[in-house]
Amino acid sequence: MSKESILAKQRASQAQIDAILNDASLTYESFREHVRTFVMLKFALGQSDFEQTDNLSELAQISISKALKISKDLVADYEAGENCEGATSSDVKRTLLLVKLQKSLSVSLSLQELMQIETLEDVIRLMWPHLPVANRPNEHRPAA
Amino acid sequence: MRIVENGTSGASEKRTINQQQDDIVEDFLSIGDPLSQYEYLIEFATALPALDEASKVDENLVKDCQSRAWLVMENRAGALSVKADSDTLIVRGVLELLIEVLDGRPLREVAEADIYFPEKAELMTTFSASRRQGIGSIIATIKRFAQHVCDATPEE
Repeated sequence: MSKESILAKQRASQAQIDAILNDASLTYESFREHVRTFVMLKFALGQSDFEQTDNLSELAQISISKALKISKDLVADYEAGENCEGATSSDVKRTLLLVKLQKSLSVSLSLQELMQIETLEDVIRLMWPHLPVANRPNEHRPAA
Repeated sequence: MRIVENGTSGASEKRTINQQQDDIVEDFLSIGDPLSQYEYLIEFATALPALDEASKVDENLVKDCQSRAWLVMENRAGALSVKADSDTLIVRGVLELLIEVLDGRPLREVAEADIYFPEKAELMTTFSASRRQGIGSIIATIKRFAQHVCDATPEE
């Protein structure tokens, strides 16, 4: 992936963030779609990858495997050596994604909320209440 | 960026070490956000040719680097020849960039170079203190090799 294609992906993913922030009548469903598209772009995934899993760590692993052009199952072997703090490239990518999303949307998830995150659906569900639009009356909220 | 299509690297005769470093810094800073920078660094990791298993011996291991990194360096008619590998993806990315900057350079230039791009390009934003130290050890090992060869070579 060249620098130009990374920049193009950046612009496209930023468009998803802008759509979220600029939509005065944003619903939960459209927020969900924008976040999914954002992650798809950032991780260079296809729709079929989302059909395999919604687990954020696994999606990060698929992303790394695509960058390395190897099977997802071989990603762990590719980094067989000891990392300084035990963090794999997938772990780092997952963390950077969460940081990027929060920063872009001016959302700050608590440590407790962050610890709840396993799937992309968790991310969407936990971030939604923090958005100003989510606190309007009669806005759709996901089931508790 | 400057990844040569066949995956090899080589110092341009027309650009200095600092000019190449500045190019790297500019590229990474223009990308901006850490996640995209991380992706870009992984691209360099995939471009680094794997080192043959016979070269992954203790003698070639960089000291004070918690990730395992191997350097194979030679003096080729006064110029540095360096190959490298690591068992950590992100370190492979930095190694590929180092090779792009230093491989093929006169050893005197390598010994005297100030390698600043990892810091200035914000490559190590996601690195822990110990990993940053490891990168520093890799750079120091390369420079030490170059200096050692220069010291052992009588000046003409």
